[in-house]
Amino acid sequence: MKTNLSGALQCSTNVQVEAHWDPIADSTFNLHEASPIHAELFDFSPSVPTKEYEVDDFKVFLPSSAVEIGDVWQLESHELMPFLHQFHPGATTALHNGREGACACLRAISSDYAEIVFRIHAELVLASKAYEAWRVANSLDDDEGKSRYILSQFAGRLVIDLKKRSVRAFSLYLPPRNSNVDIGAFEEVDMVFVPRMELLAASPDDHGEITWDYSVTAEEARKKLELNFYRFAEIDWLPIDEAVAGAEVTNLPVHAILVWGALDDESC
Amino acid sequence: MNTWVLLRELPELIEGAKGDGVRRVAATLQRNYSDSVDILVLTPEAEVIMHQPEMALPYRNRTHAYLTLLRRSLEALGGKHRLNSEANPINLGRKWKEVSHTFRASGTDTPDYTLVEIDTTPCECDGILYVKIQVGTGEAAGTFELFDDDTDLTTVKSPEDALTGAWNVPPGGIGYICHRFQPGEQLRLRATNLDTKSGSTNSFLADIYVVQEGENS
Repeated sequence: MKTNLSGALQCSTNVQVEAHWDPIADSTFNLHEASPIHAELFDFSPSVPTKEYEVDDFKVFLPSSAVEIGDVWQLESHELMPFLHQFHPGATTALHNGREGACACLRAISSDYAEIVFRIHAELVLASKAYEAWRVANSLDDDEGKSRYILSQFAGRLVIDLKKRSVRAFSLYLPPRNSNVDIGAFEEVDMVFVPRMELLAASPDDHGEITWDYSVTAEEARKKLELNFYRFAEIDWLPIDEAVAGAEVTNLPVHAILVWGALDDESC
Repeated sequence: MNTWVLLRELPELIEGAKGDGVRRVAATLQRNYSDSVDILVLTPEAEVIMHQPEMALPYRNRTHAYLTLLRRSLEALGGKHRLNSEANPINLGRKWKEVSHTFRASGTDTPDYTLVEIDTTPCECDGILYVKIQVGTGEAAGTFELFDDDTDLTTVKSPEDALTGAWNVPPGGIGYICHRFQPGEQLRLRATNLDTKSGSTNSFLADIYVVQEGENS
């Protein structure tokens, strides 16, 4: 059954979105603390801690045509920038390396609500006066010499109140698994863990369970979004203990990839 | 069995956090760590069948080279050919030959190569050829590719022409080649490098092992 969500957001009420951003909690090489200049460069707080959005601003997450449960559609990356810039003015979806894009999936629907989940690939281009001076002194060009904070991905969820045509809940977050950010500066790189980086909004009515009429599981939706980015997601990747146990039982070899960052996101 | 492991997780795994089998695999991964992305195929007993740093895959056709390595690895260890690591814990199969040689990087599409002839006629039945190649500490990285005897090496332009290979093995590194053969196959191992500085040289030591049908079942 196809659902047309094009008119699902028409309310004049504004939505208040709070930004949360933890410091780097763990790293492989401690690049972010290598010197006071490093520490300054990687010292973050949200650019706009609290921001009022119009409901119209969330239309960027809606499909342009009718969709079925589980369908995936592309998002216009440039229209997402107001949300990403709430974290940092250097946020961009034009990646230096890696798989660009943003997409969404209709995960669940009822007569009153619809839930859309999404995945966005983005990075932050960092700047400080001291870093710029270092870059110029080392004759690094504007592209190669940039300092980057490459996010594994932004995941998120938008719950729409179909009766009020408003936003019931919204979150856009860096999944908190270790490691989830690839940082680069001073011609060095590191893999780090940021426990929380999140935009969050909830309406006063956002309480109680929603009974969905039709849905796919959160894991199914996550997989559909992942497949949109990576063909290798079709492979059945196992945790190492399951792979080794399986190899011992079946006598099949283990195909192992040893990697600095997670294989299935942009932190690799 | 496909898995990926974060480099940072290895110490905990080597300490045995997820059991003895995982500990062995993690220790092997740690020993073979060379770059930001290392691709390995291991036996269930954690012996290396193939190791190829992702960055060192031949730039001309990376996807094909990767798939070739996986296919050869599966062919080598597929089905009933369980390799008995208890009897021979370090190397796969029976050591057959040892070849020490040098090679020179051509740095161009016209390879300047060293050839090692491998005649499987003395083998009485089908088997697996397993070549472990230790590259010397000289300047050149080494690319080692296995060819059928009838391949015209003067016209080879692509890794697709090789049966399998180990590409851009760095100085001091180890490359692995696995190939399922039938008795009588005439093979040639070519050592060169098209991607590094022309004229740079290095040595290599190729230990050639053979596992024949039923030998380790």
